[in-house]
Amino acid sequence: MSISFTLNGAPRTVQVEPGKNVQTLLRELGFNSVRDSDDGWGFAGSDTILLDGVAVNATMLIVGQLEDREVVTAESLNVYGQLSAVQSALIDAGAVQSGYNDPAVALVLTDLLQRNPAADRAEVTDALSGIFLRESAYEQVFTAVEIAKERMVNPEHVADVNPEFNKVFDRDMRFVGKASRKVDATRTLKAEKAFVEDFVPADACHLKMLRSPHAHAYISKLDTSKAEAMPGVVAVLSYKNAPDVYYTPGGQTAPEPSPLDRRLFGQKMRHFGDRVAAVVAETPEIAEAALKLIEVEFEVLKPILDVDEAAAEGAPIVHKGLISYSAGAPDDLDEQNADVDPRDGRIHFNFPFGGEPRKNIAAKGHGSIGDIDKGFAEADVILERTYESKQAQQCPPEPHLCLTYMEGDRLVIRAATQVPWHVRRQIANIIGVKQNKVHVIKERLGGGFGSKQDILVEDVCSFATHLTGRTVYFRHTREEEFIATSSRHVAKMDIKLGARKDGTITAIEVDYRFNTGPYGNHALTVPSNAPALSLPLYRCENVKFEITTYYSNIVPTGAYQGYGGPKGNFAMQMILAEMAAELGIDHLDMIQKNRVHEGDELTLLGKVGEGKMPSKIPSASSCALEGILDRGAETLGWGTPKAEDPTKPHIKIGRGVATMKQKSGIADIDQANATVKLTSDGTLICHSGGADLGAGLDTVVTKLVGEVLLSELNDIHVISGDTDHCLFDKGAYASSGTCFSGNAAKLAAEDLRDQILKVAAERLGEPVEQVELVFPATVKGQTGTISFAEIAHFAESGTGCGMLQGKGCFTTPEFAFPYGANFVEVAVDTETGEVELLKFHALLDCGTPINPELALGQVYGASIRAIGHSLSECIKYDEEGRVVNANFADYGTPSLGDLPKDFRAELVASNDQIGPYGGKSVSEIGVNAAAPAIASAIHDACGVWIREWNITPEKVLRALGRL
Amino acid sequence: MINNYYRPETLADALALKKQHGDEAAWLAGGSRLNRGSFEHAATTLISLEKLGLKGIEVKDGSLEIGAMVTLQQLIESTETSEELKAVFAQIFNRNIRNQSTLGGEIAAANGRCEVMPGLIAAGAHVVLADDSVFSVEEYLQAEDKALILKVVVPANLKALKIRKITNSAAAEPILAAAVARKADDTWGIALSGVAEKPVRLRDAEALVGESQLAEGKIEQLQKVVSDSIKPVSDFRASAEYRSSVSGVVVVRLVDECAPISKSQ
Ligand SMILES: Cc1cc2nc3c(=O)[nH]c(=O)nc-3n(C[C@H](O)[C@H](O)[C@H](O)COP(=O)(O)OP(=O)(O)OC[C@H]3O[C@@H](n4cnc5c(N)ncnc54)[C@H](O)[C@@H]3O)c2cc1C
Ligand code: FES
Repeated sequence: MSISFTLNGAPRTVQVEPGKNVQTLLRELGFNSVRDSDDGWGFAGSDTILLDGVAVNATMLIVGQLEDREVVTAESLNVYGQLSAVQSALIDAGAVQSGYNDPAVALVLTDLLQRNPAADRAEVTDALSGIFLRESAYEQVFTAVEIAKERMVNPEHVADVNPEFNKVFDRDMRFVGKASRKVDATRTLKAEKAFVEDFVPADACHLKMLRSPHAHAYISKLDTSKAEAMPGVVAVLSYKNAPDVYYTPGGQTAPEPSPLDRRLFGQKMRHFGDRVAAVVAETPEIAEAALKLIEVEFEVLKPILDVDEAAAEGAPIVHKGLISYSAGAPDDLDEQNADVDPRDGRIHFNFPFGGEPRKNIAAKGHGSIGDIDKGFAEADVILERTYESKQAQQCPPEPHLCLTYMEGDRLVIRAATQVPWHVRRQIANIIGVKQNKVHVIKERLGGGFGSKQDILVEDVCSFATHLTGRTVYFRHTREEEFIATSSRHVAKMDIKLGARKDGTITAIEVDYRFNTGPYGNHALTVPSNAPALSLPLYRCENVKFEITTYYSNIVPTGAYQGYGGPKGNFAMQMILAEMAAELGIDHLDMIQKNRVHEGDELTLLGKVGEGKMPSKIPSASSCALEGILDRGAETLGWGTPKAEDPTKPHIKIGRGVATMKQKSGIADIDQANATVKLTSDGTLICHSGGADLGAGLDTVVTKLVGEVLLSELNDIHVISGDTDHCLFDKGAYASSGTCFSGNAAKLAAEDLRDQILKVAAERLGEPVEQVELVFPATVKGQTGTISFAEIAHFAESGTGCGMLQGKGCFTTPEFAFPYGANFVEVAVDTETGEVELLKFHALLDCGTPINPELALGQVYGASIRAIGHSLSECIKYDEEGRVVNANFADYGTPSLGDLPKDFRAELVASNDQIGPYGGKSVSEIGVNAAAPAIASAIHDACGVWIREWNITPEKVLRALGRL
Repeated sequence: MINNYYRPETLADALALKKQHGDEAAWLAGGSRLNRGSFEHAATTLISLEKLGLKGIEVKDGSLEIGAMVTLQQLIESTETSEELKAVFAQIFNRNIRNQSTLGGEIAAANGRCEVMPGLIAAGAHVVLADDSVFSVEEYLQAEDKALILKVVVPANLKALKIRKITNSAAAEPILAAAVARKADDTWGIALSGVAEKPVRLRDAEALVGESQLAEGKIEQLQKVVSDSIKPVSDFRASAEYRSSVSGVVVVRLVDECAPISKSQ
């Protein structure tokens, strides 16, 4: 059928089926901005277009509906070499993170401001209400609107973004601590080819997965012959033809401290949505149709859904495969292997970390300092409580996706991954080739938040290409994101706290029970971070904890921003709040009395490793908690009268607070490398191993290189995350980006600086001590100056010293801990149980914020995700272990309508010695305190303790005894 | 899979096409439900209502007459729509969806958790079908056959129309949504969604409130009548018990907003 419409002002006629999806059509026509986050469910607005002047989701339209109508996409805003007022304002305000949904934001804001140049906050909110911004949580978009309004009148308007940064962090630095445009923002905002989906060629095969309808079952019959026979089907993959290799989906440094318990396909189904078989076909439609032809029968087993069921006597066993060890096998291994069921496959431990698969235990840990009995004996009051967390999902707007193809005998993987090197290592192992035959190219990521630290699509996509020689594209649906990717571990924590009457803590004892679900990726390290990221926030000489991680049949868990932090901190902060109430001490005073101080030795942390114990006891070498708590109390109005309305006695107002911490990479385990080379005209190219997942690492690297080499940022180009071209880097996790990858780049720049100075000194005929770098890109001696361009020209000449390149490798035995706090005010409706966030103030000490405006965006984003898991987000199951709410809306993903009324992020400086120019991590930490801050505010409001995330209206009403 | 797509320009053509294709054909309005990724429907033929001119909004005989193809956002932007009615449509948080969803489609979609329906039902809205027959929105929702809606008529002379929804997050379907209307003749309309397969009208509660001005002493009785009139379901959003308890609270508050409950007793 022939359909005519106007597209970005030009007439178009297309010959297509009228039922064809408009988003698919527009992408095929090359309009990358029309992305899709939820397969046409209408939540995310990644596919926003204007249809006859109003914003709608392209995925929810069919081409027939376009007839005679006018379509405008975000590409209409693009002028080559320029940015529009709205585009530049979004970048300047720091609102662009991954950039996946930002073209849509630019489109609706431009439309709004054209209609109404004076649009107020409510109108902006309404315009943006259909667009999901998981990363930046909207707040800076409002700043961008104000900048854009000015720029529409005066295009030269210079944005004054958060000028207080410069005051606080000005340490005589040119770039660090000062706002500058995110280096990749223009590309993503203009929807140039940037994400994996933008590189899929028209002839790529599509991979679709048949998933288990049961949470726990064996495949008793699998017949793929009809699917294989279908024209257009290239291959069907299943346990019958998959390599017999076991690995962990967790992208961690080897040897991984996670059981190697997953095969590409197994005969045992361990969760709702586990892989049964995959079809690789010429088109997505053929692949879908072929999936329906696969005949499969199951022997259904009883599912385990929580840790108590997993630990129960006679519980079904999730992993009954053959157990083996690389080193340190337990003496009773033969006994453990007595009841192997071959259908369960195998399970391998690189080294022992407490796993006992026949007890459904994936990992165990423990640690203690002091004398716990003595500590409790000294206490006047002892409280014992159980706290629980539920299962939250990262919800990156871009789902997991991967494109693989062969180049000669080499496999190329275009991936949206946080860990390119771990992907290369693992894929080479799975498909059985050497690592030089695998090339991983990390493209821009449309959000990761930890979920893209796990290898969940690259494995099967690579195998499909390696098996067939074909280009293969595998993209998760949003439902698959919910049922078949890594989510947040679920925890149950028994905690006991002893304190003297004056509030001094004397002893803390915790039993952490974690639910890792079907596979044990991060089964040791996530739970180990529960104590590590919470207990050292308070001074206490007698501490003891135990960790047990259980297998179960919930959908997979893994890495999610904050790691074990949000869970552990919920228990620690809540029991402290409960103790304060018990002792009649103000909650903030209780925190102040016991909190960690700068310089404190963190003895307990000497006892918690991530597969390996730290070589020295860490200390809180920089910590701005004092300033944070003072500032938070001031902005929230702690202790001031509450504005309760006497005509609404059912609305109670309460305030709460919680502190938080994180680390900045893992000492003695992680490593990052980088090189910086001087190009022929004196500009710089940095190859960084670091994987920018949208949070701004490439910008950090650019600024650090610029700072060291005193060069214009525009003269520095960063290439990152490409395993052929860059040097090894552990990847983007454990909050290591700025500290590790940043420091590696800084070291490389310093190495190059030394070389430049040496050559310059020779050329100037002066001793090297006498010459120095001056801005821009020049060496100054006492007799004259020489530019980088002149130095490069000499170096590359026939009599030169050779091209100059600096190399940096960063490892450290030290930790750099960021600290922070959330201050919260809530209104609780005691008749309905609804909780309204009146104020949410997040304060954070990230040392020196390298990109202050992007740092704020990290804090806002982390806060809204944490508000999500605290209040509305939760994966829900039926009794059979099937997920019943596998879409954004039903799952409870916060959108613009869920923002706190008064939402603030602030940075408080500290002086750190480990990170580059004192920069500590900023992103992950922000999720660790929302739940206890909100729960303690609810208690302050209406006197009930809610000891379980997520806090729904129903749970509040129940706690109030009204149900 | 859509095999046929039509854009008839007259009602007669539209009805003829529907007759020709029977159950294999569906009316296409905004398409926000029909084209939705998850929504599997049997239709292989779509008949667009686009060209039928069902796009008017006008006040006539004390009522607001709304063409079936008017979108929820157009209603919010129209000067003819009362502020209270605008608030009903604005409950759908997502503007992109409001731009696409038509009022006819919204009603015909017959979603039991729809937060717009209680407002329409409480207000006493009617639909006018292709054969000129008129049904209350509530009757239409109950009917098996979702006949073609041409227009929706909402009384415009209400004394008050108040709404409230309870939800886990702004863009989620509500746990429950309620609306209470006080009509020109001082009769009442009370409706809820989220508590049953279809939105429900609470006639017993309407009668109780209508007997006389509600006094404080009757609050508990009203809450009980509300709870008794619904048989809420439990789902992942909330338990039946919660819905039952909170429905009463919400309805009482809305009644109070429409006509302050006498606190003198
Ligand atoms: C992300 C998202 C969020 C949503 N949020 C909400 C919400 O918060 N609250 C809420 O109440 N709803 C919500 N909806 C539902 C939405 O409002 C409906 O999808 C919409 O109202 C349907 O209108 P439409 O014009 O797009 O209908 P279509 O999709 O075109 O049609 C819907 C159905 O009605 C039939 N139909 C359409 N017009 C007529 C007519 N004139 N006569 C007879 N039958 C007709 C169609 O054949 C079809 O069966 C949401 C939907 C999405 C996708
Ligand atoms: S309908 Fe496309 S992102 Fe939601």
